[in-house]
Amino acid sequence: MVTNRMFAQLCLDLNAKVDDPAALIVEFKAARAVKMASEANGTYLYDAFTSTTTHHLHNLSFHALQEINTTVYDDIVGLYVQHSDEVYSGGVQNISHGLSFDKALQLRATSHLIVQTIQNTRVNCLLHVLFDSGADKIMMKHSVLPPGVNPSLGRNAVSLV
Amino acid sequence: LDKEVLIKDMILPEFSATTRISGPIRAILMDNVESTYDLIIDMDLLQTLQIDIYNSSKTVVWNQLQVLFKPHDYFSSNLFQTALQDQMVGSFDERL
Repeated sequence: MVTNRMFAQLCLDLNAKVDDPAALIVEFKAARAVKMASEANGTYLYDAFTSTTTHHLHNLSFHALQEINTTVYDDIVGLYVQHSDEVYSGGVQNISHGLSFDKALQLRATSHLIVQTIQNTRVNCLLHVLFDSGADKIMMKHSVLPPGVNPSLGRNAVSLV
Repeated sequence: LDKEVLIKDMILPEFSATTRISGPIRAILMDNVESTYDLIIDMDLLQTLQIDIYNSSKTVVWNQLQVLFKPHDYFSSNLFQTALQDQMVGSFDERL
């Protein structure tokens, strides 16, 4: 049983965008029928089915997911999972070459940066910088702030008065 | 309290000693004394400056110049001091 939450996450992961989930199940079934027929003829259209499924999953929006009922979720996900099982029944691709990293080394995307002005004060200080693709804000260590440089209150600062 | 500073006129000397990022950029101050890094650059600035992080080659690339990833303790080791000296000499030569 696939839960709403799991499916919502799946669609979020796939960058969902459009608002017509009810129509999707019809198209899924049509695509699946084409696939079954092609298999019966001795030809396989895995790619066509995969691209149709993926395309429609891409087109689902989170907002749409709030409004459709559970049976539609289960139907779509059931088809998707079933198809995936078929695709991977011949075995899965093993990705192991990337797992032999040297944990002790812990390589990071870092460098150093010379800052010449902070808060309109000429400073010239050397900072160790991390390029963090997961960060949402630029962060600076308080302790590296040169003497005489006064920070200002942030946008989310809470007044204690 | 949430404090921040405006940073201007930055240079990434490992990439280029003569390229200046005028800014300003807004940085939030953090009190984490255990952090190895003085400044953490976020995704928005990485995109603005078009700095690419390549895990496949373990390099950071900016303006077609690339710098290798470094061990997490690089800045506290002698490796950094040596590299910095080399770079200062290189920068001096570049300006000449």
